[in-house]
Amino acid sequence: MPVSSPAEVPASASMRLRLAAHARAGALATRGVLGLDAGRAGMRMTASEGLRVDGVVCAALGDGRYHVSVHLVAAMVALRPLADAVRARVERDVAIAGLADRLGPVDVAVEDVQVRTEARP
Amino acid sequence: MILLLRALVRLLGFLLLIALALVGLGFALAALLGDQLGVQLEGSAVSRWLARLEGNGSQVLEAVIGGGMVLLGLLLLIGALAPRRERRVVLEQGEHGTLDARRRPLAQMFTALAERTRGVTHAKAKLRLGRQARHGRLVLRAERPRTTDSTAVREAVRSDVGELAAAFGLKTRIQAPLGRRGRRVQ
Repeated sequence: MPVSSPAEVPASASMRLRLAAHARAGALATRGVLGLDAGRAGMRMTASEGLRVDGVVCAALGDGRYHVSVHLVAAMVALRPLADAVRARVERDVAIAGLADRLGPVDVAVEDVQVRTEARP
Repeated sequence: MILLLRALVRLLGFLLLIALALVGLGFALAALLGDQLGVQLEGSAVSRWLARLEGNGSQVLEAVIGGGMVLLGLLLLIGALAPRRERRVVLEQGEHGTLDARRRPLAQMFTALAERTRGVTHAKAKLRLGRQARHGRLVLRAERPRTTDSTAVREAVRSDVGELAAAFGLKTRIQAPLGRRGRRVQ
């Protein structure tokens, strides 16, 4: 079942899934991000215990942290500031959830660029 | 090339499965109901061909077919097993993470930027990526009307896309040919 918000992930869920859900929410809340993309085969996602976070790949590192890759569809904006904003937002949201020490590098992968107005929440 | 081989694998895989199923059905029917159906392998073309294969002499045709089948099998194996590598343009790579983009949206971005440039009627960007990160080439074709100067258009486009191209480590080549009739200046 796809997860659209961290609130849908139970506290007992895996760390991978919780981090992915926060990363997804953080990325989608960033100005310049139009959406997330799980790819044609839907393989760019994090799945655990019957739940699935599309567009975010979260993988364990050897040091106990998790490497997060956010695959996004961007608006026509400068990409470097966009990546910085996504990372900052993800780090902030993860820190608020008390998981800051488990977050490793955050990769930002631009899967598509679209020229259309942003749908703000 | 790999894309073509993958398409070949899908098409041939489908056709060969159908052919294999029909041949298997035929053999099963011949084995089970050969007498009733009047199927007699002895003296047939199949038995003559098998006898020829076992006999002495030149079998060039069979050798060519066999070699072709081996080659086809190898190509199908490559098409089925070779990983499809997606080349991406890396903008930055550090301990905080990587920022990269797929080739197509980036080319669209360059095209859109070039088409915004004054004096450009139509633009098309082609991105060729090297095997290493931050090695690639951007060829931008920006068409212009007769009333504008080629050098001026090239410079204007370069100033619009140069910063982004440099950020991705792309070598930029801009062409400013005359546009087709009927295309209007932006």
